[in-house]
Amino acid sequence: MSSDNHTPLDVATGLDNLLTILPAEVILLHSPSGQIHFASHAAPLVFGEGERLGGQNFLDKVHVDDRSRVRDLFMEAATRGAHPIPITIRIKRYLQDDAWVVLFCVAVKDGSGRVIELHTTLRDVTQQIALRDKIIESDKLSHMTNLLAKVGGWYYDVETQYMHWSEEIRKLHEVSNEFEPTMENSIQFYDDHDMATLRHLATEAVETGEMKAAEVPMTTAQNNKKWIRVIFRASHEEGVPTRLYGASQDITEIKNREQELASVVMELTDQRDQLEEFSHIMSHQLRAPITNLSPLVLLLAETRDDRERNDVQATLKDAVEALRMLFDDVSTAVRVRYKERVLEERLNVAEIANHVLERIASSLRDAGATVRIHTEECPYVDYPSVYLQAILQQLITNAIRFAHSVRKVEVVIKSTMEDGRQVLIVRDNGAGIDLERFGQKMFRLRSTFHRQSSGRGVGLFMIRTIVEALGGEIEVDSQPDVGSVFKIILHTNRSETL
Amino acid sequence: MSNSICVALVDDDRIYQFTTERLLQRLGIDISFLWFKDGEEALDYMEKHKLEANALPDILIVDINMPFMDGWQFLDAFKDLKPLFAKPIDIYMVSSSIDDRDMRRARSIAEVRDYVEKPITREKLLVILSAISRN
Repeated sequence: MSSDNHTPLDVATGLDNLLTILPAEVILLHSPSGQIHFASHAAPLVFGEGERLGGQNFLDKVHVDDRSRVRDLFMEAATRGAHPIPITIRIKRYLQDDAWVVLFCVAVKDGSGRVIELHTTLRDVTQQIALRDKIIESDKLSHMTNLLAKVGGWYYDVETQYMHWSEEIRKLHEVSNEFEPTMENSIQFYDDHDMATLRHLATEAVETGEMKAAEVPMTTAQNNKKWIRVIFRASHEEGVPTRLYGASQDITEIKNREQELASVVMELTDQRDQLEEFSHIMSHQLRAPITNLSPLVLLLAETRDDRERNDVQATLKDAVEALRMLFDDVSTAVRVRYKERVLEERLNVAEIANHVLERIASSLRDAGATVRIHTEECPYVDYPSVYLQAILQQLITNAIRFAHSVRKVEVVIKSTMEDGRQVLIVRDNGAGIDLERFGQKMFRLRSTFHRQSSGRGVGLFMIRTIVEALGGEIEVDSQPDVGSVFKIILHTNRSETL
Repeated sequence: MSNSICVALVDDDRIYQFTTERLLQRLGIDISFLWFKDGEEALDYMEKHKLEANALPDILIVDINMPFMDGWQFLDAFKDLKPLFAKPIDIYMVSSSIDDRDMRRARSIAEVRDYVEKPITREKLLVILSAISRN
């Protein structure tokens, strides 16, 4: 690009200058072959000072690339009497750059209709062409810049209520060529809340005269979701707003990257939390049964009495067993979380649930428990079968173990869709958990919430470990004396349309 | 009974209770022993017997890391009851945790005599017993 340093100001000044210049006009009389018989007095203005044209061939003055067009023009004028459309060509100038001229040619005929000579009018349009090139360059540049930055401009004229969108804005909104933007039909691209934000900013821009900007999501005419950054600025005349100008930039990619980054940060935070939790397990839970061993060994060594010795021995055995169980639980959790990848399959939820119910039929019978299964809203989920079974079994067993003191156990298993995500809900009418008190510890290892419980505090910890390892989330809502609802979003970042 | 020292453990760990009770018995000191499985059980008991010096423990050894009501939650509730007790009660926080934060936190609380890391040895029990506030 030869003139990429043209600013809109250059162009405006050029236009102003142009209005004050009267283009030089020269008349030539010449033979159809171009031999000049007469040149009007303004000829030096166009062809250069000191240039004498009489007796020369006009074609010699024409830029070599344009000669054939001029020849054709003369030919046509000579045969038809005139060339209806003027042509723009370059001519060589004495000691100067080429000039751009517009040529118009008619034939001069004698009484019998014979062509005597040609009458050609030349108008010097060098400056106009230069300015046109500047405008084209400038337009190209701004178009290219807009394209690269995905920016488009628009304005709204307050008096005429006319709204203008640039080509880029039309592309951004993916509207058809027929679409005529107005203040009213611009609403359709935004939801109510974002439209209110934009209205508010526009009003502020008009009232303060300052530039206002916002980032909002939008839906294009082709139903694509985009994020745009909108900038407003109003122009005023004598304090009265005349136009509202705006620029809109497509920032979908930036937003997507921001969201990706946020999800990476979240993942890292999760991993840090897991690491912290693991270190908590190591420093608290695992250490507790270990510290029990040395005093027991000491007691055993000191004890002479046989009965007492048996007691100590039995306790030592319990201590070792407790340690082993805890160790197994922790290593299972670590395996689930970091190593074992069990294949996901499309599972019939009702089938899996019934399978689990069969397996624990005797404890259900003993507790007089009823379990209802509702999978109409989402009959199938994508999950490893063994894990879905483990989760359901644990939650049903919990419901039985922590049943209400009076009520018979009732459990509802439901699979459904929420925001396109597969969700599993298990609701019971049991003793419930005081979430204000235990909320934070809910899914921790060795946390129990029921005083008379035989729980080892592993079940919910293991469920959470499974759910999180597979990219899901578990939430609980519970009230003492009412019951608990566990909601598992199987895959947080995966949604599908049914 | 009135001359014996009453030691209460607040701890969910049955094995720890078993060993600590035996270690105390073998010190050759007249000691009575109470065991509460969690903070709430201990508080219920002490609330009920707050005016009976003989029934209240002289020393409370409280585990930090308990399910249901943990050691810190117990301590908060204990502070409110403390002025009502018929005699001074020494509190020791214990934990098998090797987390420095637990120790710093325990030592920053005025009501806590000290923080003791598990396992509690015979020597540590002797130190605790000899430092008793009673008279």
